[in-house]
Amino acid sequence: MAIEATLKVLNDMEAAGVLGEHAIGGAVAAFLYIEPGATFDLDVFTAWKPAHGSLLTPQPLYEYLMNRGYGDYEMEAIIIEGWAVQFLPLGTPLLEEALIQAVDIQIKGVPTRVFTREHLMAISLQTGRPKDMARLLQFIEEGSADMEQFAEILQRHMLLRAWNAFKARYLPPL
Amino acid sequence: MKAHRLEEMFAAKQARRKRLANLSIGRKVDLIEQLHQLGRTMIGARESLPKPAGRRESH
Repeated sequence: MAIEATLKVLNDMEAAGVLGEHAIGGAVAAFLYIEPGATFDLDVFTAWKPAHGSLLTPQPLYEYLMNRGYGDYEMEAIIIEGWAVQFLPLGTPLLEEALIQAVDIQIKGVPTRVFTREHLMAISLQTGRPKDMARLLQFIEEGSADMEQFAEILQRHMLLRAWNAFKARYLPPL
Repeated sequence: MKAHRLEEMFAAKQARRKRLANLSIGRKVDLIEQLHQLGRTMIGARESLPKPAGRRESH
């Protein structure tokens, strides 16, 4: 299942105006920075485009895909070229910032954008499920994050208390 | 298990993580695709497992 075919569809959607600026987050983005593990979904974060008025809705996006034969769903994800793609709104200021500061990369020749590792770490902390905590721990253990930049993100998004709780629980002093 | 054996295992795990984390994006994407395929295969296999029997009523 070649991910570049999926990414190309996303870029075509952006060119057609049904998908706004977007970036990859979630596990696939994390696995570009840390040891990869199994994943089923491709999480695409985007601001919905307004449709026929001022309401923000994902409807044109799904209609566009349906018209091109992408009509299969798995839970809340739509199957695009073999990948279950979840279109996720920018529900928090942290996600909005993550999209603005996402980095441009090429995946097998297809240009795309991914969240920075420091934003992925902060999003993991904010989301707070056990698998997010495990991922954050992995980022820290691999030691390649810019901890100063991470600290600034935590401060901006009022995550210092959550970070201190995480440290007390998972990073006991040596 | 002896402490030095645990330390060896931890060091090997860290080395593997570092090696994987330092792969090129292209190689990582290959790996992600393989793991994605593996995950889907395992889900298919899981669905073919016999369903757990219902809990017996206690009287």
